[in-house]
Amino acid sequence: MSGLFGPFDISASGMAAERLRMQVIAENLANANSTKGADGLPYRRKTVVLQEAPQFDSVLAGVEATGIAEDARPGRRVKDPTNPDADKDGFVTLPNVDSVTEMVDLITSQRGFEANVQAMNDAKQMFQKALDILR
Amino acid sequence: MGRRLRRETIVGMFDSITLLEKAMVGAGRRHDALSANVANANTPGYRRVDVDFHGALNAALDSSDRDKALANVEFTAEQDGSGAVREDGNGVDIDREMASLTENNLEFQAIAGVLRQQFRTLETVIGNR
Repeated sequence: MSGLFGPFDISASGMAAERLRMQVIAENLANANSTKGADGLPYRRKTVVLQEAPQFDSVLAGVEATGIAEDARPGRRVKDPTNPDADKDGFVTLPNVDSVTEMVDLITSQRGFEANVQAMNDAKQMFQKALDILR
Repeated sequence: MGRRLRRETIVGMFDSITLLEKAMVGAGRRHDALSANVANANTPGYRRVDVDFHGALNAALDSSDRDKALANVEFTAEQDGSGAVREDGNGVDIDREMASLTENNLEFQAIAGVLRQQFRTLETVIGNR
C-alpha cells in the first residue's frame, strides 16, 4: 500500500539521485588535472550507477543509486618533462575526464532535478485540491 | 406541496461520488507512475510505466455488476513498450512526462472540484448551510 506521501518519496528519490550525480560531476571537474591520487595513479573519472528502486507490492518507489563506478578508459598522455609526475620518457598521464562531457552531464542532471521538483509541486497541488474538499 | 425527489436521483448522486473518488485514486496512481518516470529519467535500461485509469474505470462502468466492479477496480502501473529508446536503453522522454504530469494534475484538480461541488449540493440538501 502506497502511503499518502508516496509521490513525494518518489520525487525525493529522483532529486537525491540527481544531486549525487551533480556532486560526482563536480568532483570530476575539480580533479580534471589531478595527475596523482591517493593510490599514486592519476584521478579516474567517476560515474553514479542508477537503477530503478525495487517495488514492494508493485508500489513504485522511484530511483536509487547503487554505487559509484570508475571509468576504466585510459587517460590522455602529454609530454611534460618538468611535471613531477612525469614518467622516465617525460610523459604525464592526465585523468580521463573530459570537461565538455562533464558540463553536458551537469546540465542534464540539473534539468532532471528541476523536473523532479516540478513533479513534487504537482503532487502538492493535487493534495491541496483534495484537502479543499474538506473545506 | 413540493415535488418529491425521485429515489434514483439520490442513488445516482452517491454513484457519482464513488466514481469520482475512484477517478481521484486513479489519477493519484497515474501521478505516482509519471513521477517515477521522471525520477528514472537517467536510469539506464528503465522503461516508462503508466496507469490507464480511464480504461480501468470504463471497463468497470461497462461490466454487468457496475457497483461491485467499481468498488473493486484496481489501477496498476504497466510498462509501456512504445516510443523511442535511448542508447542506454532508457525509454523516458522527459518532455512527454512533464506534459502528462501537468495534464494529469489538472484532471485531478477538475475531479476534486466536481467532487467538492457534489458534497456542497448534498450539504444544501441536508440543510447544513
